[in-house]
Amino acid sequence: MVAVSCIIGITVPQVAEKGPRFFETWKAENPSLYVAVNLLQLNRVYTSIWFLALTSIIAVSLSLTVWDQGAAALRTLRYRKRPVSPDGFKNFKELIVSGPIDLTRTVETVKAVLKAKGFRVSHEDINEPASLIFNKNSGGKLGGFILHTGFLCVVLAGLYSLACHQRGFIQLIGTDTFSGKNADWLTSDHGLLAKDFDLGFKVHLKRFVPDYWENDRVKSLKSELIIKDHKVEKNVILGVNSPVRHRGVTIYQSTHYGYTVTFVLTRPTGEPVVTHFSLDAPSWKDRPFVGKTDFPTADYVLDMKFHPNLKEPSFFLAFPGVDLTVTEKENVMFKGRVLFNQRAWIGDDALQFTGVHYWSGIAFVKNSGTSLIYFGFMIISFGAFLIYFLIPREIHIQIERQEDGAILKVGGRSRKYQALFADEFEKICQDIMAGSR
Amino acid sequence: MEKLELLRYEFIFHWAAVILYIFATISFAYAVFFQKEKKLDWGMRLSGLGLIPHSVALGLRWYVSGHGPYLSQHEGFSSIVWVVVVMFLIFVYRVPRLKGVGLIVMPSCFLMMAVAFYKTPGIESLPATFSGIWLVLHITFTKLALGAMLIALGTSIFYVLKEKKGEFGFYQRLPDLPALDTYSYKFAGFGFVFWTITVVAGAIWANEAWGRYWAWDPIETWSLITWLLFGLHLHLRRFLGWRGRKAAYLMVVCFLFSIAALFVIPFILPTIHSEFFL
Repeated sequence: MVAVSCIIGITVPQVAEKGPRFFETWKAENPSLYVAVNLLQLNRVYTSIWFLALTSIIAVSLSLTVWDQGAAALRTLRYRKRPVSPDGFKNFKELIVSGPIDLTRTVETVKAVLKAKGFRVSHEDINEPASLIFNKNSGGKLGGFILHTGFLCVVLAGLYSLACHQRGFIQLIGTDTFSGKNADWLTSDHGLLAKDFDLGFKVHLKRFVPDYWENDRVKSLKSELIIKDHKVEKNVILGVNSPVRHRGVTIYQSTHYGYTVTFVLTRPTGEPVVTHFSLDAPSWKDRPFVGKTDFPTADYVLDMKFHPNLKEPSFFLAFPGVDLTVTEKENVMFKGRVLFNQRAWIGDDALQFTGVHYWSGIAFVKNSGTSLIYFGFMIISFGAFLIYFLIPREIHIQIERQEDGAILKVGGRSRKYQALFADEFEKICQDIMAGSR
Repeated sequence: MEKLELLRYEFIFHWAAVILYIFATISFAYAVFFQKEKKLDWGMRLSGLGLIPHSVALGLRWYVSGHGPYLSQHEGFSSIVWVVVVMFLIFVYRVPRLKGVGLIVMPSCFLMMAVAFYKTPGIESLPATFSGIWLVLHITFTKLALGAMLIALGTSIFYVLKEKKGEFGFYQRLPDLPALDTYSYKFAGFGFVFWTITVVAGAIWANEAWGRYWAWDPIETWSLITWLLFGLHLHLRRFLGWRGRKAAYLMVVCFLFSIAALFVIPFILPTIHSEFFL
């Protein structure tokens, strides 16, 4: 069912990917289909009620499996005297050793043969008829229990995260401070049971340092932050793949970054208005940082292409300028290049390019069940390894002394791969026979 | 000598490996279709021989680029083939009767190698997120998983062929049907373990890099579907007694899903993986 849900998630456009505009168009073009899809929550599979219910069913099913397998594992681990019954196994052979034998020596030979093959003695009785039980890879019996416990941890952590997680994202401009308040997130989301995401501390961006390869692709991004927690200030360096933790919040360096250009709009009447525009970084150095947005206090729409260095294509600030197009109600009011500190005149209004700073994308995450998920991941991998690499095997041997020799009754079983074990069993019997002669 | 000049030699070694793998494929095909068992040894030798220039080519690229061979299609395909050939040789060393699986493994390898050459042969620089042990584990286990699945596919196909053709000629010398079935089960199990570690390491790496384990990215989702399908396959075998032909056909389906996740989805759907893999 989860696999089917995933296929639905891939084939039906999802709200999280496409955005509201796509669905408005869809609704207009095909209203009945849209209503059906929306009603069944097929356009938001992974946050739908039915997917949540499905995940809960998996959690319950896994709990029962873990309970069942845990009990079986406990029974396996608890020592109990077992009857030695080689003839009860599918793989069974009677090896006849002729001539006088020394029982103790034969037992030692058998032990040496099986020890060399990685078996250990789990039961030994040298009273006639001598009986022995050998085991190999007994730890593999715990594989199922460990694997399913890991799944349960991950599913529970997933449900916990779905209910309680809090996540916020900001574009922090150089030398600016983020208040840490819920209202100031650029984007945020939280679980069904979580409330607003207030950090309880402030974050100041002291410096942002991008590093580039020779071909001007991004090599690394680092943000030097000051965490201001009441009267305590802590300097930290945030990097991609190097998150920082503070008071239960994990802070991540995003790979989104860019330049923020600052414009001051001065109108004949009124105070100058300072506005920052954050532009996204291009993939290649010969392309500008771009952005298009409304001016907050006027009807102007600014279409910006920012070049950090107009002398040569570069990410590094040297000779900055903006190719600016200003429109008002779709009429182009200004089009041209504005260098740093220059003014663009839009009628009587002056738009001055006054500042350039880097901005750094920073994500804050709380309550994502990290420890439980990591623990679950680790034991899933370990459990899977135990199941498929350590196959438990058991050999039972009884040695019955006869008048002119002895009969060695050898029986064995493997939890998996019986066809391959048959060959291994045959080889064990041959080696025991060779050693006992 | 300039580092980039070494790429010319990489070109030569790469093609030398492709040619040897082609000859290995021809030997395997000749041996299987004309029932000439001795030619299987030629196939093995040529595969092993091809591994030498292939290793040199990969080593040169590693030296020139300064990072492991995992950043572009060229590096991705080439390193996958290297892992698959090594796994195949080790497997056949342990189970010589399954040399014929080379007929399934080697054509896939030389085709991937040939495709690799035409895809992004230049050196790509390492993106900021490409660092850490989880990335190395994620990539290494993807290749190991594919190798194990390819061997499981080979044994499954031979199972079906042997069942159809009976105990004649070449097929007579293959392991018996239960053993072939068991090898398929075993390698599907290994593939499942490696795929699990791939998904786990990828999720941890994503969390370190982006602050989230799972974003239902198309590749992530397809990997999960593949993993679930392999889980289903193994459960059906273990608990519902699926054996033989039924299990072999399901293995083929599982393999096709894994191929879709690794080599089809990045090219047809926008995914964070295609940014680095295309």
